[in-house]
Amino acid sequence: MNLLSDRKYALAMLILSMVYCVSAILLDADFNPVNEKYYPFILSMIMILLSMALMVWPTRHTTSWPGGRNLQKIGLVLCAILVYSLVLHTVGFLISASVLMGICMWVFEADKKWIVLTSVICSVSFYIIFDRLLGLTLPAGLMNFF
Amino acid sequence: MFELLLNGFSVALSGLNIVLVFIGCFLGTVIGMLPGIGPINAIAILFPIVLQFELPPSSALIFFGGIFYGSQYGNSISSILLNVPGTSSAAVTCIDGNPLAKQGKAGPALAMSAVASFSGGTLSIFMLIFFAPYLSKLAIDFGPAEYFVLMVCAFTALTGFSQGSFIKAMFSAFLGLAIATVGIDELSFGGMRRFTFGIRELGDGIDFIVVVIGVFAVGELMLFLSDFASDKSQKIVPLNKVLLSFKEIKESAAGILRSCVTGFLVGVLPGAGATIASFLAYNTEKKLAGSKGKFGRGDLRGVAAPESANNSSAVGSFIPLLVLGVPGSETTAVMLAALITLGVTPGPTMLVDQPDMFWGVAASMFLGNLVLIILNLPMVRVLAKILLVPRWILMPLIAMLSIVGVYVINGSEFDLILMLIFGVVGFIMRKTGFPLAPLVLGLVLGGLIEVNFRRALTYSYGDYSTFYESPISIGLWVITFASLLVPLIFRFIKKQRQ
Amino acid sequence: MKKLSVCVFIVFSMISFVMITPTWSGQKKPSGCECLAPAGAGGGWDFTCRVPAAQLMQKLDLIDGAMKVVNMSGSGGGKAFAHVVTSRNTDESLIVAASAATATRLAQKVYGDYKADDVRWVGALGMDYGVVVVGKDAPYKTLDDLVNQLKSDPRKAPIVGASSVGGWDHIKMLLVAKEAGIKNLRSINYIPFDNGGKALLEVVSGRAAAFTGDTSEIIGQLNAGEVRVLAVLSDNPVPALGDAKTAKSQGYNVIGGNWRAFYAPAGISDDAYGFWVSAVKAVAGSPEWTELREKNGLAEFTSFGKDFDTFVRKQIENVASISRELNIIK
Repeated sequence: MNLLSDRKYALAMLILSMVYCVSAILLDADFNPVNEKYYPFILSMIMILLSMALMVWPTRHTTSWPGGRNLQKIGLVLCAILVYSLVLHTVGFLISASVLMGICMWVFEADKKWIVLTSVICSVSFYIIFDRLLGLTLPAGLMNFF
Repeated sequence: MFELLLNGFSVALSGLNIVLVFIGCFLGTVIGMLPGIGPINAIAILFPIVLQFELPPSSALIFFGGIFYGSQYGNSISSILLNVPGTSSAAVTCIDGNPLAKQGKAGPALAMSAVASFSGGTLSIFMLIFFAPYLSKLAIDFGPAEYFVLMVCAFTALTGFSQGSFIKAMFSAFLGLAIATVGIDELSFGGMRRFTFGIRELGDGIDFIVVVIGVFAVGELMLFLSDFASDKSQKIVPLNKVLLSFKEIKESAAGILRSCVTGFLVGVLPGAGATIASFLAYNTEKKLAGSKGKFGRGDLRGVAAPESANNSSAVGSFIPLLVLGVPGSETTAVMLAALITLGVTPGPTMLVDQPDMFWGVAASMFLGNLVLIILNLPMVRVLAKILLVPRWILMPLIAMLSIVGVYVINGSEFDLILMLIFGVVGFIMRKTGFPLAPLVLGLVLGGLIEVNFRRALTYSYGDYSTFYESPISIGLWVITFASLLVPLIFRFIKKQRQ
Repeated sequence: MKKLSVCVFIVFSMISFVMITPTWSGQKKPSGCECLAPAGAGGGWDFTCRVPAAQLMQKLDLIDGAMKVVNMSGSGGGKAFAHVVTSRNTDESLIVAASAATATRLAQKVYGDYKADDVRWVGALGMDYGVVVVGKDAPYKTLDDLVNQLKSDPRKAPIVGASSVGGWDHIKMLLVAKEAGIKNLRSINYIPFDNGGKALLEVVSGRAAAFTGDTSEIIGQLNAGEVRVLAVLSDNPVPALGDAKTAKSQGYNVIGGNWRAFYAPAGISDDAYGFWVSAVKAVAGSPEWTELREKNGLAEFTSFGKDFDTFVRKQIENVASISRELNIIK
């Protein structure tokens, strides 16, 4: 429990606000209250002030960051979702969702014999619920023949 | 007037309409439980049914009303049980609802949500019946300047959402405002692209549902994994208590009443809507409870307030829709489009020309609320058991539902990547003590604050006095300062006494 | 074991359910058709897909089975346009809803480098004529009154509408101003709102001087006597507006409206294109459509195939020229 960690966050906030401020200034417009530049600039100024305020008045609290195996698991799930969103259109929903579901279940240490069956059932039922019953299109991809 | 209302009941109580209210509420609840899919999608999805069966317009509106309430209740179910709000207003319900569920009190939380929704909804229907014609004037008198001041007023609600550091809560909110500025600016000539960094998809801005699902659902997933212990005896929360006691209802009653009035008034204003209503209501109740409340750590009143406000603002938003023909929210915009398609033009003459329509709807709202509570109170027992599902299947299922939900709203893979990014942002914010609710509020209000600020100044050619010219704005400023200063003064007096 | 058999049963029933999907069968009447609405549910494009296309084409037995409506919102229709050009260019079962806003955005290069040539324009089946409206207590009695105010002191006459700055509602007003001989078009104070109804409240309350929008948006307030129509931007008076005068009859030759139409991918065969043209024609001529069109405040306006293509190009040229004057595009 220390004050230092809050100051570190405040620094990160300050950098973020500065980036926002600079990109607002770089917008190609006159500096006029009714223009698209003025409002974001004001916002960024307040954000800069808030980050400085946190540096002056930090709060005490502890942060426990995940480590080791748990961090790896988080990384794996995030990567899996990223890959899913990249291949969804070409591969199609049924296959990519089954794989993603399988990975998630594995990460949550599901019983191995259930993983394949459950993930296939889930993705097929999602496809039916969303695409067929609700009419919200999901990409068919490789399974175009359906 | 009562004759008209009775006539309305005879419309609502016709066999077909009763069936429609039932079906609407049920389907709405089911669809509303899916993360990201709220009343807007539910109505759009079910609209073809209306066309298919060539329903008369009043029945169609009654049906939509049912879907609307149903999906709102469905949303609070997923907020409480899974910490995944489907709409921005339900993000407030998460704050106390989810801790309650984690303490094994999912049953009372769900029941309270049903009771509060029912009472808030029913009471506000009375207000609708008595005040609709007068309140529509209020909506006309609210210009851009008044809206801007209202948003500032809503921002004072943030004082109730900090977890330790008020500075952090404010920063969260401003981050939300900043995110809302991303995209094409509709108020500049030719539509200036702002903060899109050359990414084409960012031109449309960042959909708040994508952010909400990102920070809540993906963030929750990461949070769960970060404390994941590999033992097989994964903690399953026992269901301590399933039903709500009379004492608990009595404790929340006053809050429900207050929230209902707030929600209704905010709901009447087109554009302000349910989000502001739930934030204001929650903040008020938290302030009134003082240090005695367990707000933020699982207080039933923290579920009751936003749910009551939420539902009464839904009722309130029917006033501009029916009396002025102006949709107050995205949901009512879809309803308006549907009504026009069916050949009904809502507007000031509707009360006179088509009284059946207006009073039928008012009566069916009573019915809808009643049906909702009849359908859902017995379901609480079943729903609460969702939490007994083993984690290894429940968590992946929630994740998948969220991912599918985010994708289908706009059919965009890019939204999935945004969701992922905001998931990481939400995770970091939670770990470092930045509250998430202000981010949601900032994001929802962001667009409104900016456009109304700039519209008002465009009217006045840059003259800031426009923000304190009208009696409404002055009144709102008084409320704003009072809500900031009164707690400080009370604290000061207390100190003096000691 | 019982659980397993239930699972197997569910999977099989799901698969059999999935199998019953429409496919292009090559008959004369196409099946498995799709209408793409380039915006979310509830807007004009969504209506164009759901009512004249999906509902009436099936009802009039022009297509086999149901027509699927897909909403694809993004970039003011640009996402759907790009999608059609890049990944559906030869899809003969697809039509896309379009309107004057599509043409405006093509003219203003909102869709990037995509041009009107990248798709085939099928036909239009209705027109929501533009109107200039003031509040019931406004001092302006004719279009001349408003134009004179805009000439002498535009600061006292803010104009509101539902499109973005430089969008179609704004352009309609500017076309009137240009016709009146106003040189500095940027001096006109235009304030955009989220939708027509909200913008109209600004006129009802007296905050704004005039509203520029479409006929369908004002019917409710007009019937209540809260607003007056100064001019309708059509050739002939529009029945839904009573005795409102056209801009043309007041000496301003401006015709402008929001037409409802369809386009198809550029790479489809002439047969398929011909089919869609005749299908839209059939819908436009049906009594069912006439009834729905009137209920929605749309005036009669039809244009198909080659004529429609010329019409769209002409409109794009007009919008492009005024946008150049406004410095919106180079």
